[in-house]
Amino acid sequence: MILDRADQIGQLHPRTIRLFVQEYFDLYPAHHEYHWATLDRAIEAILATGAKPIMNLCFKPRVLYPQINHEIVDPTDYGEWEELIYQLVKHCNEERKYGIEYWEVANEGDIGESGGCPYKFTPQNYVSYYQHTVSAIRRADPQAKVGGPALASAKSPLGDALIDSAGQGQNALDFLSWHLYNNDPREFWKTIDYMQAKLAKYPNLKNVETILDEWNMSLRNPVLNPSFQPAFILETTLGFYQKGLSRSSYYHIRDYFVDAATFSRFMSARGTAFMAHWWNDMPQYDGLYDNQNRLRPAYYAFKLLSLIKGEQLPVAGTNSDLNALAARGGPWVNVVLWNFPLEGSGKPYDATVQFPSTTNGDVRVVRLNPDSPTNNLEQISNGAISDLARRPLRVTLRPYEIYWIEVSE
Amino acid sequence: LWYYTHTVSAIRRAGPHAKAGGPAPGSYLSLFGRALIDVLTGSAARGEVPFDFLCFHGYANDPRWFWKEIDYMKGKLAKYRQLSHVETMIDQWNMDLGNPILDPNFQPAFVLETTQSFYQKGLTRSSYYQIRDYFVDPNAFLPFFSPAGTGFMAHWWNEMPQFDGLYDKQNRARPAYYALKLLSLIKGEQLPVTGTNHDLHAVAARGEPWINVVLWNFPLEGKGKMLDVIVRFAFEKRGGVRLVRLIAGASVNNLEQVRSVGVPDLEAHPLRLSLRPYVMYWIEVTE
Repeated sequence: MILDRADQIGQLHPRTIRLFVQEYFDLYPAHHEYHWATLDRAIEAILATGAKPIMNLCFKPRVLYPQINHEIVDPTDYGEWEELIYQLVKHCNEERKYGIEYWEVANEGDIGESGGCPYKFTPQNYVSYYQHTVSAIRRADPQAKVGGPALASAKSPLGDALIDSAGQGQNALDFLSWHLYNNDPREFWKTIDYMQAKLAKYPNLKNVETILDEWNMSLRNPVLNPSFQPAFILETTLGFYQKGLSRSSYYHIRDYFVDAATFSRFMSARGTAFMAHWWNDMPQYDGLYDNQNRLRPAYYAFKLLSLIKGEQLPVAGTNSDLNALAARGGPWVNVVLWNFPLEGSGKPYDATVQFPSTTNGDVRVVRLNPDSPTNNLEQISNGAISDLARRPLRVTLRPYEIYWIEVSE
Repeated sequence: LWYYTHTVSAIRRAGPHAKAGGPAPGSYLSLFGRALIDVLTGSAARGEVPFDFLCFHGYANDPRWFWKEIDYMKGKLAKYRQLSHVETMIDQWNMDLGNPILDPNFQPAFVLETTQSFYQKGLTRSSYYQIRDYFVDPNAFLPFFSPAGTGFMAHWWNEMPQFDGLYDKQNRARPAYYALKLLSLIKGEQLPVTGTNHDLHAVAARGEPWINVVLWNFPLEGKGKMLDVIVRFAFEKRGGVRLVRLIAGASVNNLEQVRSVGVPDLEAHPLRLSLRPYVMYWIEVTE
């Protein structure tokens, strides 16, 4: 539950936060009996940050799935499943008026339990499951955006099957989603090209949004330099923007331990053990907050990105390693610049920052110090912009280093 | 003065023993603040308004700045014999938050150095600014602030790097917390300390059955230098000695126990410390 961090997360100004609508919410404890209270608390915690949830439907009620087996993906009664989904959407958007737009069908169904959810689909049964589920969502809320399949691997045939069926007009598809964990931002950009090309084959899919709704550096082979992850976020996100990705969900907000007893009610013994080992025993590098609710430096990368709002400003003088974003928002111009070497271990860059059209006001230079236990945003200097004529603003960016410059009018 | 008179009148009507005061200007250098104080002290001296405390704020990296402020304020009160009872309060103070010193050792040492001078200057009370940094909800400010004022507040608290609170916006303790924690141990009978100098300072007290000593190196001029210190206890012959150092840059275990020995052992192995600038030690002697 992220409610205790709603203020801090809200300051990152997230538009959407993806929520696993998992079996641990116990939405359907018995036939024709609904339990929404636990899920409502999770949704309301997201709303408290100012974001809307992306509802990832990945739950498997025991009454509709009496056998624990991730390859059994069809409920015992699709009529009852559709009614359950209908009631869920109706509850959220009609009764509670949460205003949820995005409903995503399944999570990493191409890899089954090792993706954290108890479904392992084939291309054929995914499309059938998707059609039943989407039909119920749209019956409850005709404006809902529906999509999937939240692939673990962008090249999974599940994605092809969904795109083809939607392209042939067999089902609605508002967004196509997939995941990636990799230390090289270029790998993310390649998947965007790949997915956009897949969609481009069908003119009727030209408005389909692309959502990379789980991403981070490689969590199995993490880069341990504490400066890496924040710079990786900036570099990768800039590529998302340039490639025209519609939306993304960094994975994730906070690391939590897994209660094996809870998971064993809907996952196999092997799948439960995998989850418990991964989350309870393995070192973790995922969350903006760790298992102890301690902040990781990645938080500040998103904080700095949140300042890039308003009128985007052009930046000249960047290169393949040195990148920058700049925007004018009200009386402030914010510039975020970083050194992210795409090849090799990189080198320091000496950058002189000039502002061609600003003559009045103050300029503040701040450096992200990922090593410090507090005061991670270090104010390096603060002075009048008119002084820059005499003493230009020079910064040296070592690999993965990030600076933020604020000009106030 | 008009506003003050109305407000204090209501306070005293509800609580005849309430202490009333003000005007909490941003700094003693503020011309408007000085004028407010002149008007208020003059009126109070003439017996027109109750006036129990004179309060003011300060943010500076040099503790001597605060000494000047206290002297200035005490000078204002000294002009009127009738105001000899008026308390003095710095009720917002910290290092210069617009130009903060980033050395994590600085702020805790600054807290000790500045507080010691508050004591020596006879300041009645002070309020370190502040306990915890919080984000500002612009919608909560708009009903009583202008859009420009709200924008300033939201920008200052939500976007600017902050260095204020004992806890930051993520609820993480800053090292300054430990400076105030160590000061809280200096209670009971104050004990004399000899051998300090312009940069090296110490406070000591006996609060049965412990003696606590806090010592620190705060260079008032320049970058300072390492100071080698031998600590001796004139009268203590028994008990134990615990030496603890504040590690300002650590994420946990900031109070690091360096040594724990019996007092009799100090004859053979004196308590030797090397204090780099802004480093502080705490010594506890148990009977």
